[in-house]
Amino acid sequence: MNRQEYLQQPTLPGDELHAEHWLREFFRRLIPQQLPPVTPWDRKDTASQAVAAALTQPHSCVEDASYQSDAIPVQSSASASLVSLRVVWSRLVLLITITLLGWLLLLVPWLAPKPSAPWRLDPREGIARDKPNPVALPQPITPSMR
Amino acid sequence: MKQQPLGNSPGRGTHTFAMAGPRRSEADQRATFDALYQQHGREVWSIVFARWLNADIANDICQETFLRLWQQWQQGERIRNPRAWLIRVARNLAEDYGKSAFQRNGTQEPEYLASTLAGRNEGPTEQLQRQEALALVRRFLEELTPADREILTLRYGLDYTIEQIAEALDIHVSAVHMRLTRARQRLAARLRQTGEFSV
Repeated sequence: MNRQEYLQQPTLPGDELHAEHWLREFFRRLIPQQLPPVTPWDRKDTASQAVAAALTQPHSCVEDASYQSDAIPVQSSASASLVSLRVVWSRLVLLITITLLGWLLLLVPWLAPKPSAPWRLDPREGIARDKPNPVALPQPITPSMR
Repeated sequence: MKQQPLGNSPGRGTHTFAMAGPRRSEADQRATFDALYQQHGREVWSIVFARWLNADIANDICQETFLRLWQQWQQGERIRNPRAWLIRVARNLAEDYGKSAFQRNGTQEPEYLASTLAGRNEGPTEQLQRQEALALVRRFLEELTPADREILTLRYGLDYTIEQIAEALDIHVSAVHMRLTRARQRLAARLRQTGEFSV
């Protein structure tokens, strides 16, 4: 193998070359060679011209078939506004709920505490009722036992 | 105000329009905008395509990105590195698309794919085999992270070198190399498992 052959031989394993081929094929078919043109100044100009024409020309009842409006249809805009109204209301309700819960958390610690049973300090006074065989407590040492 | 000539390689155009801004005349701005679109349009398109693997979304977001650039200029904003700005805005818009109601409510699987991926001068068996392989590539790409897909798209879709990818995505060369190798190996394993596809 001479130098030229050495340099030309694939450096990747066969499987990876295969994968590379399919990746190239995939992207070659999906990525366009030429993108559609973008001319923002034309958009602005046509929009301003349409507005100017609408303001200067008298209103005609006959529709111009060649004119294609970019405006959103009335029905869809109405439904969109209804949806946005619902979103606003639901957000408002959520906000009020959160505020109330916050106030509640703030006020609860300051409310009067409920009376609870006093803690028994002397273990001889109480015997657990759920224990069948309570352990006998050591007898107190009396003077007679000494 | 000196304007450098445009370079053919994507990397060289990074700082070409450093002085593009409000002081330029409208005609100059249009010429600069056209040149930018010619130079970086496919790059921006590919980055968005890599995120969603959908040509329609890529078209919309690519146009929106360039429109925003124009609006920024109209508002008098100075953008020092338009290429980086375009890539960043395109990525953000692609991410925002994922959060939009349109995406959440579900979109249809692109039907044009099968016809796009089919070869023209092939018999039905070869066509089917090719479609299967390309559908497998697509499924494999969907399993990858968006960052990995971006790298693969730039490498195999636009034939960028590893250095150019690193520069475009602002990551290290070794990271690009590692991700490319890993993705290639995984796809190779998948193709091996599925069966033999003729090259």
